[in-house]
Amino acid sequence: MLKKLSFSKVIIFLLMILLLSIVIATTLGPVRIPMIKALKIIIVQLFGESVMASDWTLIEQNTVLLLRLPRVLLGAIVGASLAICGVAMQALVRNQLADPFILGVSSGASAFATLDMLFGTFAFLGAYRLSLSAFIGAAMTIILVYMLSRIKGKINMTQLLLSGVAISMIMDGITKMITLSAPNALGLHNAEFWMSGSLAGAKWDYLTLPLVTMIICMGVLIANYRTLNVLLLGDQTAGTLGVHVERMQKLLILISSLLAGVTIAVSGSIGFVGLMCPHFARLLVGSDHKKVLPLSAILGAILVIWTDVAARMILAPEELPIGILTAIIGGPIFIILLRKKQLR
Amino acid sequence: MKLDVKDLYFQYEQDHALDHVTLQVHPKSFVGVIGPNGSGKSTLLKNIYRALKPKSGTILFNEESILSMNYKKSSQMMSVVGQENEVSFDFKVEDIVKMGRTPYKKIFELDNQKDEEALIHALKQVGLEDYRQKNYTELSGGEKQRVLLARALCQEAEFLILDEPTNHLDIYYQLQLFELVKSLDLTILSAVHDLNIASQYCDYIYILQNGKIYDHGTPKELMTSKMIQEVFHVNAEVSIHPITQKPHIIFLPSI
Repeated sequence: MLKKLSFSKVIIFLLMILLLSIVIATTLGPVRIPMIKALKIIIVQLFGESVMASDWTLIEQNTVLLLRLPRVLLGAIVGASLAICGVAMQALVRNQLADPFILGVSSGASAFATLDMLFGTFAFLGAYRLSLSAFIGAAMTIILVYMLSRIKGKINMTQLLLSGVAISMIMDGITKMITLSAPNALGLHNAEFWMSGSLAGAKWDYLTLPLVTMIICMGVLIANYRTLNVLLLGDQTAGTLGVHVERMQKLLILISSLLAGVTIAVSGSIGFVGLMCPHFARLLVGSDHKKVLPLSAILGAILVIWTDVAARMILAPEELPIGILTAIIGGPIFIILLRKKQLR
Repeated sequence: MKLDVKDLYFQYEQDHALDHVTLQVHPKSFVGVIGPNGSGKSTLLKNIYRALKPKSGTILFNEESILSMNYKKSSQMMSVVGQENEVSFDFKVEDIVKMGRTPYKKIFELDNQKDEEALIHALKQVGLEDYRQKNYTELSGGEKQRVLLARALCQEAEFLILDEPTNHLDIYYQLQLFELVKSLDLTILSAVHDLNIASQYCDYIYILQNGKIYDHGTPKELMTSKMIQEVFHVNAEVSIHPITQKPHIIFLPSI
């Protein structure tokens, strides 16, 4: 067991790494742009042309500002959202193995988003229709998995994981069928995008909704950090400690669905982030949600930024779907956690 | 703190029920509920501590119905050491005990001096002052139970419910736990498995059989070989023990 480190030191250290990661990741890609230059472009954009003279081409400026920076920032937001979504789901089912991808929530969100693209169910909602339908898909899957795995008021772990697997298979099947049957209508978003995720094609417009959603959900969760801690002791115990358990569970379902739905609408399903980041956060600072939530968010952001860098560098100029990489890293960690649970 | 349960009726989906149970607990008394497995002891307590919702009947705390009370308020009046004692997340002993302060906390509020004092006092009461920084998951069954009792004490409620907390413990820990709670200045309602322990520690006893109150009274009034034969279906001899001056039960072979 690692010695628990001072929380504020860990947070400050990781925040610095996050900032550094954002800048460095912006310089990396098929077209190499020196770090100083990229930094200058960002600074000029932030503070105006008067700060320093420009010594870069318009192509370089566009690559940094219109292609890379939004992509890196989207990665950070998606990573943070998936990590806190994992924390919320783990508190809901009282199990560290919960993750939107493992429990089929990502697949549910993807299936509903593709359904919407095909039938235009939520067309009247304009720009946010994709996010909304993904949210509905996520919510339905969470509720379904939750109900299937509850036996006599307790969450059964085997039941939980198996229903997650079954539901994600069904939902992936639906997604595949839709994307294969109507390839033209779906344009950029193909089956691979929904099932293994991608941050390619990120634009500044894509950032607002996920960012706002993440900030609100994070705020609500942090405000209720005590309740989340108490929930880990069990429903009955939580009730005797003054928690309105049912109301809190509904809130957690709502928050995890929002986080999963909104993120998946912009990035497809990127798995295991919600499993790995809370796990590492707990190793560093223990299980108190006041600490686990912010720490997981920062770890999630860093993890997705760098996995995305790897995704666009490893087979350059081809791009790997980022979800494939997170699965290769996250899968073994899931297995280790599963073994540890069984041995207890 | 006085508890008044009237005509409580409860039914699970299939069987097991409580049939018009009426029960009273007077301030500062130690009341025990005994009965064979499946008689409804735990179901009765769960209805009182709100883990289950009764179909009909009333539960009053100092003349106020608990069924319509908000959870925060009821948790300031009663604390519970229940059957859930496994935590698969990594918490320190002090984290778990401090959770007993939750009923007094507003959103965003951090721990203050008063919480710290309650924590230290509770740990002292159960004799675990040196365990603050230990990991809960690494403790023995008896230690875990004492941590959970400390959490309940940290809640500073006048009424304490023990839902068969000693079920899986060695006799040493069982006695230790009952000794401890008996010494506290609280009103206690406890399910008790062992008849000798019940007659030694309880001021008053309710006997449950198939979800109904079979009888109630002081240990001396209740503990008879007739009752034990009828309720528990075993032969027993009851005598007053010369040292404890309490009924002492010796089980006899059936032939």
